[in-house]
Amino acid sequence: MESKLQKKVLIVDDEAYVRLLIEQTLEDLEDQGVRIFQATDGEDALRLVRQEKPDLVCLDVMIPKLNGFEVCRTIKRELKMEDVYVVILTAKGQEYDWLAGKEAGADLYMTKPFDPDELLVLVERVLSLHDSNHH
Amino acid sequence: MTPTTIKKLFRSSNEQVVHRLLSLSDEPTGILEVDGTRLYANNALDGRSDVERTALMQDDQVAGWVVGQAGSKWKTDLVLLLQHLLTQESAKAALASEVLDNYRELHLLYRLSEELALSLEPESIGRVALKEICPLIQASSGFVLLTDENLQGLQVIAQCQQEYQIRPGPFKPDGVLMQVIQTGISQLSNDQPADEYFLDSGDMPISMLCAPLKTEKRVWGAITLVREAARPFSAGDFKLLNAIAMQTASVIEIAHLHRVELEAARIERDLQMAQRVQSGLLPRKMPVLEGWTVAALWQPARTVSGDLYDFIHFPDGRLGLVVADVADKGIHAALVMANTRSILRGVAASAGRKGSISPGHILSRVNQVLREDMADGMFVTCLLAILDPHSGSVRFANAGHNLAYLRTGQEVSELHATGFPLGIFSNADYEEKETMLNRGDSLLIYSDGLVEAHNPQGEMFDYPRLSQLLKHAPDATSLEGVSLLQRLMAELAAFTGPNWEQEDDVTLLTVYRQ
Repeated sequence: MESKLQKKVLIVDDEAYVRLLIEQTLEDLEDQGVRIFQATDGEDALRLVRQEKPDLVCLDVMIPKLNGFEVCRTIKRELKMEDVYVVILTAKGQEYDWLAGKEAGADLYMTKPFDPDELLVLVERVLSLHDSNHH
Repeated sequence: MTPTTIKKLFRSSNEQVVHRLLSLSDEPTGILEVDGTRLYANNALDGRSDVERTALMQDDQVAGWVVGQAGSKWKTDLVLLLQHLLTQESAKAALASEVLDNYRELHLLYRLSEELALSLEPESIGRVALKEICPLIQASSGFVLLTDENLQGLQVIAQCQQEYQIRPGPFKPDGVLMQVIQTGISQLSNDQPADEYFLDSGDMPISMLCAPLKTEKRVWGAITLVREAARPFSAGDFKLLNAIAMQTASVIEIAHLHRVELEAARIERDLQMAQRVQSGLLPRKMPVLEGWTVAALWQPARTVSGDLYDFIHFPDGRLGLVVADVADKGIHAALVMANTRSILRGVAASAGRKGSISPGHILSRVNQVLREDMADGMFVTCLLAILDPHSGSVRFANAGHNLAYLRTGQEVSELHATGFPLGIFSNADYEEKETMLNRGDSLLIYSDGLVEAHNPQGEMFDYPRLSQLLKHAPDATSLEGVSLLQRLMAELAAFTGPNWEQEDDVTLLTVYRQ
């Protein structure tokens, strides 16, 4: 299970504990061979997207350099990587961002604190969905 | 949490460091997983048999192997470095696991507060709390019970995953549940007899977590979680349940206040309606009599009143003047007031038809009828005066009411006539008296709300003050009708001050002969 067939998830958040948290949530998937990458700002996120072509990106909105919406828009519109499933994460009380996320082409919108179990189920579902698409 | 193994180092952020490290030596080197699977091997290792493997340990367990030449300094250093990285990775994983646990709790509390905000019934609040907490703490059952203000009358309002039926109580006063309710302090006990709380459960021991639903005001009840004793609850479970209990308690308190508020609003609506009905019972217009000015004022202390004034028009042109006061306030008094008015009107109409209009007889008959329905301890004082507008004669009888004042010339006198209040004795006689109102004279009938009003110093308005106000009128018009009543109310307001909370209903009725 190398490169192309290997499933990849990119976590983008400038807060270390959130990255740690998502990584820990997806720990069991790592054991199944899913690779997890992390970025702390928008530019680094796009570099990793180009380089690794992840299947799924957990994208925080408030990140340095380029914000989450800009990163999402670049992935979906400029890089034309529509297959990359983008989950936008945002703080509670900023639900009005939902429209902006939608406009940027995000596939899903989650508010923090998110339900770790819900995220795990989602990632499992998306990764296996991609699987069937590839075949 | 899965133990950290050497494999983790090859896929974490350490991956590049590890590869750089391994490339530093040409000595035969290999890294094996716990089960011997090869993770890394350099070319120098091919075909070598003079190598040995050294275990990397983590938490007293083998986490992987380093393969190299026996006695090689490189191998010793590599083991040391990898061991160090492994320990760091393991500590990070432990921290991550803890952060995740805390985050799950945080998320639970968020969701709980959102869901609770939608609940206004204690039952649904209890259900929501249990639905969230039971799976997270992995309780085999749980229940929420409420207690009354005296910490009695326990009532189970919600339960989850109930294997056994909860005992209807009473629970042992020194048992965990009652202790929690009495002291308002949570308890964790991993060895409790199940049959104290559940029916048909046998005497197996259970683990039990119990937290009070407590606010600053009081203990509202408790939330209890149980599971078999083999799976004891932890201090973390205890802390989490306390957090949830605090949140639940404050919502239950809000629900309670909401209920009380709704009830108060309903009563207020009823009272407003009662007041509208009651004011409809009072005369809508003042009688218009040539040569006379008639005025009345009615100011209840509460929404509804036990005071009454009325005018009775007799067929021969005479006018009955009534002021009555029920010995109570509020709805009860208002109902008695309505009843008194109907009876008085009925009896007076009957007397008018017969042509024998005697205030004493009328009061006597009203007393008889009223007495039949009157609750013990209740009574009504009433003054009935019958004015002949042609002659100026006033015949009156008094059922224990305040004496009316007559101002004639410069003098003020009380109109005495004896009689018991209505509704006390089945048979009562009422003395009947007569007086005359000449031009410029005025008559004032009133209830005790005026004379018994108090000022902030605790002094009473009292009769002499009223009598003096009648006597020393600034001018003639201030004795007449509405002017007189307004002047009296202004004096009352000046006496009691601006923050007066009206103690009793105030009713005034005056007749002035022009």
